Amino acid sequence: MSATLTSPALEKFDSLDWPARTVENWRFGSWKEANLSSVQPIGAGAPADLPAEIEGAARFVFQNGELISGSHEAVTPLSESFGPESRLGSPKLAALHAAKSDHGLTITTSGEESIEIIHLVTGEGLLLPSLVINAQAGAQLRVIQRFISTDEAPAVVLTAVDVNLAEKAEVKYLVTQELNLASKFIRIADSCLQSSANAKQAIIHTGSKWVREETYSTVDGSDGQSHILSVALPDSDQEFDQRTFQHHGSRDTYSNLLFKNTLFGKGKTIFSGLIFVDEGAHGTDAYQTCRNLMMTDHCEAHSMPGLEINADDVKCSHGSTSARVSEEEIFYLMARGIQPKLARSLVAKGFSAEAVEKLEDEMLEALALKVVERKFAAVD
Amino acid sequence: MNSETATVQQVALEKDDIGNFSFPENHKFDAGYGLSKDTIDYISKVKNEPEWVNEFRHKALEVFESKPMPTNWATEDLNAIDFDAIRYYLSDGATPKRSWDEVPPEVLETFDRLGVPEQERAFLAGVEAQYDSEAAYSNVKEALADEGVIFVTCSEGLKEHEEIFRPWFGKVIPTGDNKFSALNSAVMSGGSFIYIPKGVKVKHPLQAYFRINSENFGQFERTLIIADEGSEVMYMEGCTAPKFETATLHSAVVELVAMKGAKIQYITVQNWSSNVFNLVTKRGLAHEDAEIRWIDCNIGSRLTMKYPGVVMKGERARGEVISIALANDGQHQDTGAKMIHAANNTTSNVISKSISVGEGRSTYRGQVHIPKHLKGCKNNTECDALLINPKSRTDTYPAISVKGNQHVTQHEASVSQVSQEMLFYMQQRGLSETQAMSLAVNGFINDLVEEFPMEYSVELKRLIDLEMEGSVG
Amino acid sequence: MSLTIENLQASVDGTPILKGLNLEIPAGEVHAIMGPNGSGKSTLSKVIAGHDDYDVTGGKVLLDGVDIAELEVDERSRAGIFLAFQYPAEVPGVSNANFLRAALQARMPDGEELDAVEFYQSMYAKMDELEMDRKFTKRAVNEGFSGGEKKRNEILQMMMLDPRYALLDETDSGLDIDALKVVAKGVNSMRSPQRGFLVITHYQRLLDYIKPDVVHVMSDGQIVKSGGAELALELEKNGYDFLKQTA
Repeated sequence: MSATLTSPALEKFDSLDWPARTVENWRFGSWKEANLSSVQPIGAGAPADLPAEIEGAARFVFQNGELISGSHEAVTPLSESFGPESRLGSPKLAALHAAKSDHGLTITTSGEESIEIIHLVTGEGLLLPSLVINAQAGAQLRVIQRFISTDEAPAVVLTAVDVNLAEKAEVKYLVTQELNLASKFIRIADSCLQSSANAKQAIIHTGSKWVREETYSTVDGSDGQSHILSVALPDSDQEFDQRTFQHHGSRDTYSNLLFKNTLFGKGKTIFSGLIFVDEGAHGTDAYQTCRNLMMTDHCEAHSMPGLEINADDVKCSHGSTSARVSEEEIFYLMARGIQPKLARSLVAKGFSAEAVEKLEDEMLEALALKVVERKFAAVD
Repeated sequence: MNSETATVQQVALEKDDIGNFSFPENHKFDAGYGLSKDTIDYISKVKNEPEWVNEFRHKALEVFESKPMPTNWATEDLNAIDFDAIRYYLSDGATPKRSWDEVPPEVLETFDRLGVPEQERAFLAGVEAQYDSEAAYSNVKEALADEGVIFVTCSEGLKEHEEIFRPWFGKVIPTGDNKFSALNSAVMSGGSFIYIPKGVKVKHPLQAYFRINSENFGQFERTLIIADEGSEVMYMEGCTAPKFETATLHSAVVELVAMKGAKIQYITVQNWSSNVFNLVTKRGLAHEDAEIRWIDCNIGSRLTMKYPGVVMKGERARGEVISIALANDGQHQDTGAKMIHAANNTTSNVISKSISVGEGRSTYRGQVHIPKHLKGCKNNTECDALLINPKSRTDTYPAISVKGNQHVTQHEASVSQVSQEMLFYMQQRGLSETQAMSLAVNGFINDLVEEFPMEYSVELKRLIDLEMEGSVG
Repeated sequence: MSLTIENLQASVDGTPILKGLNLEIPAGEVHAIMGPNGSGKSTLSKVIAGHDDYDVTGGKVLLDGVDIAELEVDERSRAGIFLAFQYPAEVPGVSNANFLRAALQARMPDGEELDAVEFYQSMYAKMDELEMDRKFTKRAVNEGFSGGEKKRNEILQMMMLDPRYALLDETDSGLDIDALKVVAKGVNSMRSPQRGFLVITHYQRLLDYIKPDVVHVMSDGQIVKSGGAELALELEKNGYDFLKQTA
């Protein structure tokens, strides 16, 4: 990292410590992985075959930090970070993003739009993309963001996203993390919803050897609805560490989180989630579910679902389960003539599909399921 | 002051009336204020302890002093404890009486008012009554003693039954488990040692009653219960203290050992006055086919931190925590459970229900741990919280770690309030709002109350009714 | 051509349930098994389907003369045995359509693909017959289905998979009379000289709609009495008390 540049952001970065074992938000986590002090900036990107176009969506393609194609009236390129905040254990990483991010997009619209962003990641080193989504009153926005490796080099992607929904805005936002198995992926995601706004965010994790994701959702206006979905499919030595915060800052708000992990090989997941209801935020409905489907004897799942409730007129619940594929379901499928291996895979894919279906958007669901399918084929 | 808070305070007074009285201090032995090496030597000397116990205490003091307050995850209220303003040992002598007739009059009157001798006659197999630092009375029914059941104070246990006591003492909960287990290990006094011989099934419960009489005092009882192969025992503990202006500290360590096929039930009704910091470490070790159940009810104290645990060390061992917590104004019930699965086909179950009233706060913390290379482990956890008033507060922080695909874990938690519809229905049938609320709350915990012995469940329901008075309106 | 059960013995966790059961269901016939609760009726259907909760300790099941002891559950299904479950499992996230396609695909020779258009045409036709809403195809298998919907779904699967021998385990339980008629219509439409049925039921009611050729009475893990359709009526009238008298 360059030592000559100084800025308030850089000073802040210098003053903070890398994550440590004693930080509660890193419980069970591999905090050493988050120390990026020896990672160099990534070099120039490279072209690659792009996935099939999505009908009706404007496509933007980045090769590493460089925007090589895409234009749309609602989208403007960013040349610096919007300055993310980490409230879930990684202020140092947020400060790093704030100080060093040099590319990204801002989407601002009050209309009905579909935007697809592809980040092609090439070579070794640190890449710091930004995304800001401003869905203005009444907007209907659909955003797809994909992270794809073009080679097998160990990249580190530290990305931050800020999603703002004004009154009655609707956003459906799907992220697919399909990096190679040598890379690291860190994502700091923040969203804030005003009244009657509706956000559906989903992330599919299939790649990277280590993932740290901090998702903070605030519902600040009555009748706002925040849906947070995740499908993670760790295999071999992959570790996915996801921390979430569902903040209810106003009366009559709704949030629903569903995380589905299917663990193969020595895959490891960490889920820590908190529903936080402010004093006076009566009429809150908040739900949080983390389910782990254990496919091998060597996988490992840690779940820390949490509630902090400071208002009494609320409906809140969380649930967490860990289990293998149900023998009853397998028997049922086999009794219809389906081979045991296929039966197991069908049930497991169905398990992921349940989360994806909550997007209620056929096009996004189809894309998400395709990414899931590919991982299943690779594990096979 | 509005009428609502007035009623709440009246109720609080009435509630504390159960144990809210005290006698002038009349101690022969007083270790004085503050904690140092001298305090420990003083305690050892009064108790005439073997050298190894004194050494154990000194090591524990070092651990206590080296450990920070756990405020990185626990409440900042812990910082309100002034360890220098506490007296660590107050007693009239270290040997308990075997007959109530020999107990000093004010101590006898205390336990009479709390109903202890009466309960002993009615349904208990043995009783220990602790007054400040030492048991004033300890006795077990002759028939049980004849079968080889040992029920003595911890001090007697470590001296007179060292060969059974020492191999397990400090093994289930090591000194350094946490700051308060270290504190207890340094200044422990009182508590029970129980040994149930092979195959002996004790039909009636054994009971301990812990009474704090003195101000600026800390009670640090230590209990070890060993149930040998195939034996069964139920142990119950109750406690009260007068409501002093200053903070009082209660920090116990309880270790349970259930050998192959043994069954231990440990029942607590905690009703400390609302100036007591109640910081307790409780854990059991369950061998093959053994079962340990913690049945725990926390109604009193200013801050309770207690997470009873079971280490399931033998195949098919079972662990259970049944927990009721009620937090009223100025109270924080920070309770939970720890389930460590260390053998195949072990099963654990946690059911926790909490009620937050007024500005009370209840917290559930749980840990379920199923490490690698095991199979057939099961955990079920259910935590339900009921919030009564707009400023009532509840938190839930479980952590479940599972390795491998041979296990099933399930955790569910919910937060709710008493439905207006239900209250209306009951009021339409002629109940007052308070009665309706009490009924609803009793209904919420009813299935758990039934796990307590009848004599306790009646008392529990009464305590809860008292807490609910003035909570609505 | 028949499904033949010879001296079948099976147990669960060491407790014997089937104690030397003999039964022959020739293709083209409908056999009913009746019997009191706990007689082992449901166990029989699970054992024939190959559920591994049950240990077969003796005897055999012959499918058109071939012993199926070594076949796994799915292999038995593809060989032509269909079990309509009393309590069908829910399979979250897997749609009915995908599930049926997978089941049919499993019956195709390697390298051959199921024709999607034909599949849907055939499925819709059968769903119409069973008065099932098209939306069912997109819903997850049995998830959130009412008792009646689950049973219809079982019959739909049977019609799609075209088995050699169908075992219907308490298919009438939880059905109202209209649903029962629809289900019976589906079963009757499947009757053919090439196919055998074993209808397991506690009540005679179902047999008003699916006329059996032979009725067997099962008790304590054995067939204790066999007869024509009139036996079912007799049982309905007199109950199973005669079993106690003979015992």
